[in-house]
Amino acid sequence: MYIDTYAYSNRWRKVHPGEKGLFALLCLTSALLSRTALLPLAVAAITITMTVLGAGIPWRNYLRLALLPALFLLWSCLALAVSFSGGEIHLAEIPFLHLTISLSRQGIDQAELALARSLGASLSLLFLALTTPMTEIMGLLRSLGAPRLMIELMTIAYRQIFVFLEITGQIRAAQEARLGYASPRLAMKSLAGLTGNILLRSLSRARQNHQALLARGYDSKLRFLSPPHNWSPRNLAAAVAAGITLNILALAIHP
Amino acid sequence: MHIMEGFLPVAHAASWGAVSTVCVGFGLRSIAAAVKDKPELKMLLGVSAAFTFILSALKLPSVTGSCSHPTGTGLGAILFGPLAMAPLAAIVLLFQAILLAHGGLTTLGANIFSMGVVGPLAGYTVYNLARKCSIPASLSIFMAASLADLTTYATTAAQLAFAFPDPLGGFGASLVKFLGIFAVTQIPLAISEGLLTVLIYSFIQKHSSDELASLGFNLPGEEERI
Repeated sequence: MYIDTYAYSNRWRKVHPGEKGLFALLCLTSALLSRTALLPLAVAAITITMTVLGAGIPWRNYLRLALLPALFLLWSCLALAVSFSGGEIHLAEIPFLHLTISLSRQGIDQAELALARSLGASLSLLFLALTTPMTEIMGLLRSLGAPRLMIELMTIAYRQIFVFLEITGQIRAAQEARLGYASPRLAMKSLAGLTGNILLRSLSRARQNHQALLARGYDSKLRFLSPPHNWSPRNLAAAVAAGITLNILALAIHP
Repeated sequence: MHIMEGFLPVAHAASWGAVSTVCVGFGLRSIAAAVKDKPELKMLLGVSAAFTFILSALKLPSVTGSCSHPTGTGLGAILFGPLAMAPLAAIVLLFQAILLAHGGLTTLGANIFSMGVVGPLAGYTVYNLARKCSIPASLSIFMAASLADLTTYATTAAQLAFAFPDPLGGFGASLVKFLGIFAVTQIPLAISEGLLTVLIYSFIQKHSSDELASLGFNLPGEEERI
């Protein structure tokens, strides 16, 4: 979970989460609204610069983090470009099913636009994820009026994730040391033991947490404090100006 | 299988978002009512969301060697009922989008609909139907878990086909295309998740059916042990 680590240790940790959130959100909408491939790519370039040069995330690790969604994206866009019902460029023919695999001009255009949009949008989100810790994002959601129950469930879940990650790592290492993943059959059995164990632990953990809450005067409300942040008028103005410009450009530029 | 951030056009992203907001709202209301009855449930659901997130970080051995992970939708629907799954899926998907860069904010609605609404509903219905027809517990669980996965994947393919109809063949041709392309990873995943869920279920039943019963889970009785 590199992303979470950087969220707490980057250079822009102290910047008000609302400013970062607003900027990321405006970048996201401009990438989504644009009708040409060029603007989302510009958004991608801006967010990369902000994340690597601004927030100071090491670029090697940034690349590694961005590569996985990018590969997944390429695979999805390949699906967009390919057509089974005929197109200008024939690629292959499947003899028994009478199917031809081909690329159509329209399909390629569609895939190109989707790829650019999605890249711009994903990198905008990655900017927010790498600069703002989950707890502060939850604080933002709370002040935006998300249902209290939802935020409470999220907070419980977020805290528990790291406990489980540690237990999972330990059990997995123990299983691997005993050749638990040597064959697919064994791997399935080990995985079931691992998951079953974590599930049981989560049930007993839930009971313990509840009892701990009761012991501390739980009245069916969980209250959280957000760390104080100061709005910076300069940052806010820059974020809003850049974001709105991008959105206007997205709406104005026609293919 | 999640739709990537920014992949859906604005109108589609917004409408799936609206549909899912309604579903999550219903789910939250049902959870709130249940929590009034049994205050422990809130902690239990929160911890279960964390459990589901951890599940998604585990790799399943699958036939094609592709990277796929269990989703836990089937198991969750059997344990908690289908209504509670929409808010849980919303939390898990948001965490995946932000902590793992998998999925996204604008496609959250579409993903919640396929993973948190359609999948659990299918799994829950199949499980209950199979139990009514006195099909053995292990087979019912296998069917519920794999069908939850399969319907999730079919819904995602349909959402993509709606958004990107084939220039010549329209929605139908596009649907067949997406179903075909993602079948490579999703069908082995459904089978291995089905098997895994049966193993997990028999594991927890062997070791703590009493604990589960005290929380009000309706596991099949003693004589029906897997």
